[in-house]
Amino acid sequence: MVTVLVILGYIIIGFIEMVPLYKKKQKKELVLYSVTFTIAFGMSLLISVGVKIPSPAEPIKKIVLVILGK
Amino acid sequence: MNKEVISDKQGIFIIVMFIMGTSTMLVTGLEAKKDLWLADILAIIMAVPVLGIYARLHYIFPNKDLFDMLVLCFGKFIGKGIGILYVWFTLHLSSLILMNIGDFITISALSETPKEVVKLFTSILAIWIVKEGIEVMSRWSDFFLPFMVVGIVLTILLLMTKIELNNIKPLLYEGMSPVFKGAFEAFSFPFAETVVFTMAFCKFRRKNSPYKIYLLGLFVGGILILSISTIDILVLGVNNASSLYFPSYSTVSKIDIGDFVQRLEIIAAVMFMLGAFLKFSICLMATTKGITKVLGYKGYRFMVIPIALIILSLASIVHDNIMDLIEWDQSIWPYYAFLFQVVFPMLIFIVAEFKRKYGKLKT
Repeated sequence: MVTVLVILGYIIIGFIEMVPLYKKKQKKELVLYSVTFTIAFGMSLLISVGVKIPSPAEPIKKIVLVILGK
Repeated sequence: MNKEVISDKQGIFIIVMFIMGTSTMLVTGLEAKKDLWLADILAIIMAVPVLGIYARLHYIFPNKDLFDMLVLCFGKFIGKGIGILYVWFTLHLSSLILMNIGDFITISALSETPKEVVKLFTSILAIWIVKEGIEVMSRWSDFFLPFMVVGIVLTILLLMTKIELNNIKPLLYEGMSPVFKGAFEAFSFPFAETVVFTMAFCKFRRKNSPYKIYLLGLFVGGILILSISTIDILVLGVNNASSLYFPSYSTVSKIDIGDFVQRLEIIAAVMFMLGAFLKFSICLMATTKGITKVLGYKGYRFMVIPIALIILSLASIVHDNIMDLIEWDQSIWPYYAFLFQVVFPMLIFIVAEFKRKYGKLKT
């Protein structure tokens, strides 16, 4: 159910936002937009399905601890 | 058309509101225990030179933001590399703030609502305000800050009957070292986070106004933070304040005057939310500006929605729960943020001053 809502939401947002960019022929902007939009879509989809994505906080913690020498 | 100039007063207001943002909910510097007020004063003193450097950078590079400064100082390759690190920093910071907002609302007020709903609606509002630009944001803070300040002063006055002075005695019982630790934590959590403004601001009315905006904003915001955290310790005591997730919220709920004036915490929650919302929108704006500047685009407004969607997803994976967040905030965040808040601005400052002296700086 949640997954369907997520997909629907992304389709609506993508339609509203990307069509004007396409009509104005801003190709460069469209490329960046679609790349980030796809990343966001992938993340939301995985979260809604229930896949556990590794948190970025853990590697940062390890790096900081290595630099501090603890 | 889109000049994005802000006046001195609006700049000060927006910085005060940013500093008060989430640090009124999560009281920082609790490692200093009873001497929290001393740690807060130390943190403000530590923050003065650092914010002076940010203001100086705005003075040296008029009408530029941090990403332009990086490219001007270190050349295209290294400058853009550091710029990408900054984009990651603001992205991470905004997802932490968003997570904080979601947890605060679900724990304090709407206990049956899923966190994602709260986060979603906050982000929709933030997208709207960021698309309108910094001028609207500063007028928004111009409107709401007086309510926040009046509310905070009023709650402090109403709490006067609950104060227990023994909660902060004896002074310096455990020596100076926990005070320094707490001061470092408080320095990196609300005060030096204003580094985000070097990315969000770029035009001022006068050449000297950055100094006034940053330092006066720090001073007013610092006094408000100091009074809030001191009143928390005075009312709740150290042990209670450290074991609660949101000490200020519990402090306000202690207000009880003649069995008539009570349960004011929801008003306080609304006030905390105003600051947190502004902080989130500023961070979102900095991230969007950063990613478009680094990749060489003109204008940032078209990228607001995908970035906000990434932040929305990141906010639900970055930490499992609020305990994890608070623990991470205390042990890792100050060192991690030190790189972005002090080291890089210091480097830019030194390089820019040298280049200026030998006349190689093109602004």
